[in-house]
Amino acid sequence: MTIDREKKRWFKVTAIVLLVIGCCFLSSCESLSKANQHLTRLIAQKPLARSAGGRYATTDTYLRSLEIPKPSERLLAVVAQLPENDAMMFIAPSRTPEIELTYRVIASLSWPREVGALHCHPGDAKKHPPELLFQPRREKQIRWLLFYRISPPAGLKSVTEIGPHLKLIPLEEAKEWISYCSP
Amino acid sequence: MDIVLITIALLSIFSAGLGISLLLATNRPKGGAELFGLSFLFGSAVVSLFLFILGFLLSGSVLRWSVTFLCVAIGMIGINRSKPFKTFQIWPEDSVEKCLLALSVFQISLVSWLSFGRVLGWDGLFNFESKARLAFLNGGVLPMEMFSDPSRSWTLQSYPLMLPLTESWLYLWLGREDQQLVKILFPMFFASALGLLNGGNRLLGVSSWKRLVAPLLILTVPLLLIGEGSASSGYADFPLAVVYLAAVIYLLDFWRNGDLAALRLAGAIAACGCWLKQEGAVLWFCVTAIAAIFLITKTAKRREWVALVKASLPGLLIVAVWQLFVRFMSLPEIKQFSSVNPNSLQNNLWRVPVVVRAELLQLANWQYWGLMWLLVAATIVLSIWRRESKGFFVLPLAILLPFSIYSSVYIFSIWPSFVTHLESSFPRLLIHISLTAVLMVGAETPFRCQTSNANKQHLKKTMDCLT
Repeated sequence: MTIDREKKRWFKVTAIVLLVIGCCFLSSCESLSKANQHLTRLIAQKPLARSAGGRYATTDTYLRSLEIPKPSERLLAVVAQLPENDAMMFIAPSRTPEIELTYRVIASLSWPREVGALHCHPGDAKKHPPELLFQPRREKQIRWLLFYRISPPAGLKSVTEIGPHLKLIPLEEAKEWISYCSP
Repeated sequence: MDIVLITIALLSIFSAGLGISLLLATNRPKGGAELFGLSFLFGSAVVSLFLFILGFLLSGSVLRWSVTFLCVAIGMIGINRSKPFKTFQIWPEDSVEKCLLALSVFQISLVSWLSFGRVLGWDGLFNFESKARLAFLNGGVLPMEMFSDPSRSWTLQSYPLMLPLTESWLYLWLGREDQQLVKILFPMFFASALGLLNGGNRLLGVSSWKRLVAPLLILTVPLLLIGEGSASSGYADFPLAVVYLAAVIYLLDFWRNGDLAALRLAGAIAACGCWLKQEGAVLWFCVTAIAAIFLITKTAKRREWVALVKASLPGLLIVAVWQLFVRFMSLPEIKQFSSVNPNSLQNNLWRVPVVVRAELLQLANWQYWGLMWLLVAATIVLSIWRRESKGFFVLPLAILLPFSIYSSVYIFSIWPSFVTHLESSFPRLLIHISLTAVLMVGAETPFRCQTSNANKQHLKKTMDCLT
């Protein structure tokens, strides 16, 4: 009898603790969030970015640089219209960690389409020539170009804008990749 | 509805893991918490292996139901063979155990909060979740094209698949990919660690309040809770630390009691590490080497050597089959080190003082480790000084052996800057042995505590079962 009562008491205590923690977890209390951020910065050297939640919580956070709402869903919707066997080339100005991250997320979401990466290094061509970092297999035809934070060469038609910094353009004629680095 | 589906996915993992745990060690007394941890580790390994193997023949809902059926069947066979629940003490008996339960609830809630409040880290997304997503989109089977895609080499295609396929198992049940809900796996690994630490403490006969030291110590180590490689990051490093902790606990059981079932269990868990991350093979080697050292020191009989060979077979099999698959698929090798030979050692010997200094700096980085490694060093010295408990050398050995291997590899690094290489990966390698270190510090804390009645009873029960 006593053991039963004891068990019930501990069950209640545990349930209350869980409830309190659950409330903290679920609450969007700003001061709690600020305290958390402050504490995290104090104790952890490299904390991971905060998650906004949702089905694409991580990729949305990593694609923040596109400056559009729900970037993963937007990208998936655009890419879904392309034939699965078509490959793409991601063309970006330089090789910064932010650009590298954006490329990898885009390539990851674009499956089964293969995505190569070309870093242009404009204005510094002597020191840093354009760098073709990843290339799709030879049997996959590159038919689409993704210009990230770089202006596409003038005269290219049917530009699909995936936000202000990313543009998808069909490749009409095969040229040297380097030629796409100069607008 | 999502909660129901996730629960089914997790229950099937537990069912398979419970079955394997009970089948491998039928007579060993285990607490509910320890069994929880063990079941989750084995369950994740079994489900991912089933998905990988059956994936060559089946896909879609047929694959999902087949794996579910196998998981339930294994669980039922295990329960039927050993009738575990009659002997298990599920509810805490004394005030220490109640405190331990409350502390565990708090810690698991904290890790859940951190996991759900933060995104998956770089490796968590690109090495594991992205593969889980591809497997889900392809009916639960990783498309072979993924392995041969050169534009995807940054996903480290030759990494073992336990974590991505366990994540894809959740996606298969959910019916969609969900980068937020998939994080539920990581608090589960953390809960497994706590359960196993509790089991380790029981095995070591750690008495009364001292049993709180190990879980409390975890709270003082930031890198175990937050940041890249931590329990909340989605990386494989923390799960590998849990696997290694479990393997060491059963190795310790074997060392103290000569129980061959414990050796079998240690070998099987170490094999899970080989399926989880490449470094798992190093830890498997350490477990096997420590068991061999024990057999040499006690001049073991042939039967025991045969048992060691049998225990090391699952790990060997996983490493061999995976390497065959990697070769067959012509996956690019992740080459970060030059070949280890006397010539390269001689050429790189000048690096030793630089590496030692950089490693000491890493160990002393309080924002990663708090005071943990200082305590570990003090505990190792103390344990060698006292030399009183039977089999206690296993823990220092289980820390020092992988530590020496991990520390020395940077001498052979082929990165342009081997110090940068060390700074970027050494803290994560240390995570693998950190839980074992926590167990050792907790067990050897020099507090004098009175053994509670419940503990005495438990010890008596354990001794009875063993004799």
